[in-house]
Amino acid sequence: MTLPQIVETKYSTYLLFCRQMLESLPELVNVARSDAQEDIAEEKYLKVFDERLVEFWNGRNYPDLQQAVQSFAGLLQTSIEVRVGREHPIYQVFQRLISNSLAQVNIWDYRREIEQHHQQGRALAQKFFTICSPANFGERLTRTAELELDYGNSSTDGDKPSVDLALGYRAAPIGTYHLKGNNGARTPKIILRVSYDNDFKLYLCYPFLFLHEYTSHIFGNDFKNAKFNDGWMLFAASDFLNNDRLDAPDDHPLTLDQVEIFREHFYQSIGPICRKGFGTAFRLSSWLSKNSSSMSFQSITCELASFEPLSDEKAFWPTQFINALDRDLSENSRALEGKLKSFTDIRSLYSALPH
Amino acid sequence: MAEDVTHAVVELIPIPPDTVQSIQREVENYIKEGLAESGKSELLKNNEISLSVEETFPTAEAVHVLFTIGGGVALEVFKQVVLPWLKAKYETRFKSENKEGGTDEVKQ
Repeated sequence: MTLPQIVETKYSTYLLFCRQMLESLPELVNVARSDAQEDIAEEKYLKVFDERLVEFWNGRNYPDLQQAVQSFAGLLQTSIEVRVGREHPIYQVFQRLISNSLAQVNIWDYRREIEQHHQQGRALAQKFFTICSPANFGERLTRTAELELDYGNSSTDGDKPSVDLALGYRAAPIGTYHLKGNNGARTPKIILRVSYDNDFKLYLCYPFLFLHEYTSHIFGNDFKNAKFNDGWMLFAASDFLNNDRLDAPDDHPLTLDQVEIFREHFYQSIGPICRKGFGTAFRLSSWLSKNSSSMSFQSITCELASFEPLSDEKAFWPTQFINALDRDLSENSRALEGKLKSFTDIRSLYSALPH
Repeated sequence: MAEDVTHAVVELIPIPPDTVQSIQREVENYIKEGLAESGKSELLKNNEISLSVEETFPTAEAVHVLFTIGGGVALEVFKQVVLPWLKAKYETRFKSENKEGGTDEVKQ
């Protein structure tokens, strides 16, 4: 499951220009906003960038990175020049971005770039769990997933990748397998999908996507409770990341755009069950911030993420817990306040919830 | 497990009323059922066929199942029992198959 050469060349080019765009973004925002009345004037230039990426992905194939980078540089330069002219400060921003990209070609290693996002996500996930009791997680918090890139059907037909297969369904951009070894140990493997609709928003979201894979499926226990693992835990990761950056905005490894991109763009595309779990977590977290309780949103999340079913419990107990909690939150929040003051663990709390 | 291990990825696309979540919950038991019906349950018990359902970022509309297959007999059972059994219930795409340490790729 390796990338066909022509896809690898395009993906490497995509990552190179996205990295340069990420680094140019503060300057682009400053220049764009000083030149317009709108608050998000940079959006139209990011749209141009993404439109050129679509053209590049779906255009001709290239035998090597040098030619691919030069081609995308030409596309981008012409597009910006036509819009603003050579004298415009925006053109100068893009010109620097293009020059920096061209200067990187010979030393660019796209696998190192993607591995950096992977390690950022993993490190943030470890930080996410620092408030939890480590004993409840055993060795899980030290796990490192093997990273694998996948392009649709990885087989090729001559020199043409099977584009139709790659785009014939909406594949998740990222996923995790747990490979079972002979000794029963589970080794995590993260699959990162490359497709011809990869854009700058997806690039911005990479660290969050890795953070989610680790918090929900690698460090956290996963008994396939979509409402919890892909709903509640998505909110928890998003909320954590937001607060973590607020604590140290100048030293944070991620930019504000990287922190906010999930909520602004990707939240809308998550499935209905996951959205329900996300909503319950959001409402509980908001409610707890205004009411006194012996349990915090984080402590409840830690317990759910380290949940192991007892002999009389089903694997989907976390879903039952969230459903019962949601019922009280929606219909009987005054009673819930009393319960949250009286109990200090999720099993005791569940016993007092309507189910 | 035998040394000649093969990995195969099967992509399952839900046909309503199935959903990604329902497939993720059911697929392991469904395959167990298929193997039991064919009298091949021991392949799962002996780890000659094992499977892992991919936990995807929740925007996917497809489920990926990775099969780890040890030995020629298990591979034949996978092709003749497991795949047809899956195809009977789900829209199925056999993505790739490769032997560990080798470069084989089988298209279908």
